[in-house]
Amino acid sequence: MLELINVTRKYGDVVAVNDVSLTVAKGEFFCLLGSSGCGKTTILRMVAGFEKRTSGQIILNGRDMGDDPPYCRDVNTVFQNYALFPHMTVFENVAYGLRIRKCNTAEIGTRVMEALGQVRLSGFEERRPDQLSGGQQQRVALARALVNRPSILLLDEPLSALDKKIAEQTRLELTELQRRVGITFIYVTHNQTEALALADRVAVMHNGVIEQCGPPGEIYEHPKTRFVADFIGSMNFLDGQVTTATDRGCRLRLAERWDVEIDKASPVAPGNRVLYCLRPEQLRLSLLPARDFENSVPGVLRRKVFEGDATLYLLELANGQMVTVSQNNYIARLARDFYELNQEYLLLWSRTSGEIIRA
Amino acid sequence: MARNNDLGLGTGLWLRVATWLSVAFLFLPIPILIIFSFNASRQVTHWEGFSLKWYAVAFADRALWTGVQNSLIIAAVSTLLATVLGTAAALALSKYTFRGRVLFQNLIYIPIILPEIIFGLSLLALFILIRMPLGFTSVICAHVTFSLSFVALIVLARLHQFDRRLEEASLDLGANRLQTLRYVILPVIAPGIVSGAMFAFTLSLDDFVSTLFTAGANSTTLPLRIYSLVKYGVTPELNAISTLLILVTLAALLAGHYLQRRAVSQRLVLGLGGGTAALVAVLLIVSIALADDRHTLNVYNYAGYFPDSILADFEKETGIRINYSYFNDNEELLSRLSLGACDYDLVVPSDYMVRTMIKLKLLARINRESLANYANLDERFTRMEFDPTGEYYIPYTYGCTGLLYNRELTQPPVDSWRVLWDERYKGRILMLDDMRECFGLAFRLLGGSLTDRDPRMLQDALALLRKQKPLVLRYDSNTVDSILLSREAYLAPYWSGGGLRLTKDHPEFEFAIPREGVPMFVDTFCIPRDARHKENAERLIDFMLRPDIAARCMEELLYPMPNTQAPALLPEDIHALLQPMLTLDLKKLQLVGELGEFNKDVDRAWTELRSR
Repeated sequence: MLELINVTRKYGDVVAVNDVSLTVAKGEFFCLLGSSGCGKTTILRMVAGFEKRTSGQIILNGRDMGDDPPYCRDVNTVFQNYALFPHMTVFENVAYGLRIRKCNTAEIGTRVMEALGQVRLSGFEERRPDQLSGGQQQRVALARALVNRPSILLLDEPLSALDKKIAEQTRLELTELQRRVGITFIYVTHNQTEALALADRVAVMHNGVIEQCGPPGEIYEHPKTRFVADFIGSMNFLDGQVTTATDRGCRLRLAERWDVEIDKASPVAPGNRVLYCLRPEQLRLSLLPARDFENSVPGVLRRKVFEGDATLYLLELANGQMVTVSQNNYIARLARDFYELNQEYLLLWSRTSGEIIRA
Repeated sequence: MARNNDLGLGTGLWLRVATWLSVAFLFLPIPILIIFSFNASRQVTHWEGFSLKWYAVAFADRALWTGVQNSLIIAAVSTLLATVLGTAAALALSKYTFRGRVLFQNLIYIPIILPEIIFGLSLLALFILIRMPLGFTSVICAHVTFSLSFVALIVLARLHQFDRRLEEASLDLGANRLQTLRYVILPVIAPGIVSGAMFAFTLSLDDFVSTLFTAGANSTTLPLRIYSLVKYGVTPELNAISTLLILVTLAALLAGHYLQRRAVSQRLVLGLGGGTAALVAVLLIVSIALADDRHTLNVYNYAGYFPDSILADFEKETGIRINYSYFNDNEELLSRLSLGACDYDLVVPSDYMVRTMIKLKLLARINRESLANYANLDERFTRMEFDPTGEYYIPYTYGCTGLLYNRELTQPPVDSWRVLWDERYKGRILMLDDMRECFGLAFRLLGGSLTDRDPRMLQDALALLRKQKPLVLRYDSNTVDSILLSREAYLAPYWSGGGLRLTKDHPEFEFAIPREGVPMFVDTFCIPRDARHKENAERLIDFMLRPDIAARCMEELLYPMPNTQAPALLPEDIHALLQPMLTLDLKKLQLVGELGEFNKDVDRAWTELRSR
């Protein structure tokens, strides 16, 4: 449905988007995730028509629309700060696109009311934007775009200006709305929680290229690059070298002193230098080795950070590296676990945990 | 007590006092001005009772209303043009990057930064270079050039706050660039455009300097008219005009406020304003197109120096329409005439200026045969030393500087200039703020004349004036009447017109011609060489020479005219009043000649006198 083929955007010598190709299917909720300056907004603006591509093709429904002006493209945008017209009422804001397309008055009336109903703003028609809360303005912006029934709805950080609570609530509504209207959403955000919660597929961007693209679970569980591993959630990185490798798993020597076993097929060969990635929640602290947590490395507890539902423990390994362990407080309290600072503990994890990334 | 915005300016009392003092300083002049507009006296600061007569004078002042009309037309048209162009410039500057953008942006500031006088001069030079006649078009051009900058800057400021995403949102929703401009950008920046337009309108309404340079024969504006009135001393008519202006401004402000409170849509306000301006523009074009050029006469004179009622009678009698514009002194007249772009048909220079203008070939020979009333002229005035042929001028009025004094406060005799050095009147002597008058007087007392250009006598004259300075209350030309009426000063050298006017209304005053002799001037009718309506000018001259008209002129202006038939037609009291002037011994009078380079020396001495 929407296809970007080798799209590049340069500002002078600066490459904002570097040879990006991606496909978005009809009805999909697609998310572009990355920190600011990664090129995600530039892609969105190129699809909307506010930016010209330097090279490549932007194909919508089989036609390259890369040179069309914004008003000729069958896409609509929800802007970060909503960009509602301050001199118009809510009704006029939503009706704007239809008026421009010269729809008749009766049709405009029904469609605008329908769109306002979809975003639960019936009864707000005569308000002005400055008389609405942030969340309400956001929903007006959504209605203003949806009412035109575009092929694709582009959303540029639509929740970033909202309070955390309202943002979470709106997030849920947004997914429901998208399922209901069936319009393809392309959603740009720097917030990984939003991306993982909302999207059917996420593309993680860095320095103008897509590092990894896939469903949220895959991105989280199996990061393919160090950037993705680091960017999504939190991650401990341990340097290692492959000692033996089979098609069922391999053995690693970590920090040139600890041997560990991994039950995971990886395209590595003995002698390869690799990064071994472990999430804090995959690790356990213990005084004694445990049966079902086969791998263990000793470390000294240096800090505890209470986070409400969990506590973070920072351990210093013998080579000086700090490793973060996250333990659920509820479970820890049931087990009456108690850890003392500057005491030596064992860091335990299962052979099935962790990802190996080529260094 | 808690105060939300204590800026560390101290507490209550002191702050309040300072605030009220500032407010009083700023606004006290306005009530004073309004109060004195109801003064029965013609003096500005001397209260003589309540009267509405100055409003009557203001309402009857035809030239004033022409000025109002011209000002409104010019303001409306220039506001319309400046708003459209200024908004376009602001949009271009804020939306596009183009070659020379920075240069353009800086150029926009130039009319604001540049002293207006330089701006006016350069415009004048340009108009003359491209042979554009001075008139409505040139004034409107001038006003548009500077108000455009203000509009552009105000709109630009508004555009800086304009969220570019609104524009993108509009494009995104399917509107093309023109629709986006029309439905989103213009409505959002409309408050900026409206305030820019209002600013342009006020700027144009009260602009003086560049209008002075670019106005032509038919485009005298209200500020020019008001300034020219000052020439005759500030009268309460000015207060009345100002009070009316304040009322109009207040009404406009209140109307604007009301419209805003009632949330009348911006579109309506814009439509009304734009519509009015467009209507005025159309009316202007129509009136210019309809005006029959053959039946006009462009007069360039001091304000009020041809009485309005007489001009009205002339127009009625001949069907010729008179455009009256003003100069304030002979030098202004000369500079205007030598530029040669002004289209004047009749001018009124003084004696010495006639000589200069003849020398510069600026004047046309007057066809004296066509003047039926030429024979009425006193022959002593028809071939005076500044034009012995008498071909280039017709004498209009004459006058002199005499001694005006209050009989009740002085002891006779007051018949010599020496009385101005009399210790008895210490602090009660008023001198004209005019270097030629002061030094001319001193030279006369020393037995010479300023026109001898004797530098050694200049030193003696300076010493003489310095000796007098401790006795002098003040040097002032504009409010002589008021100062004498308030009895602050007892005596002053004064021009015969103003002096006689005061003695007419206040019998305790006397206007004397001192025995040492007095400086004299003769104002004349002259026709510029390039005049396009020479016959019409000659008809007006002839009209003014008619005995009945001349008598009315003399009665109104209180300046004598060298007309042998007119005095007999004067009312008795006016005749008596003018008697000393009518019977002047011309040998005692001396025309003030040109000083040439000596002028600079006198100027230096004058500065020295005034500064120490």
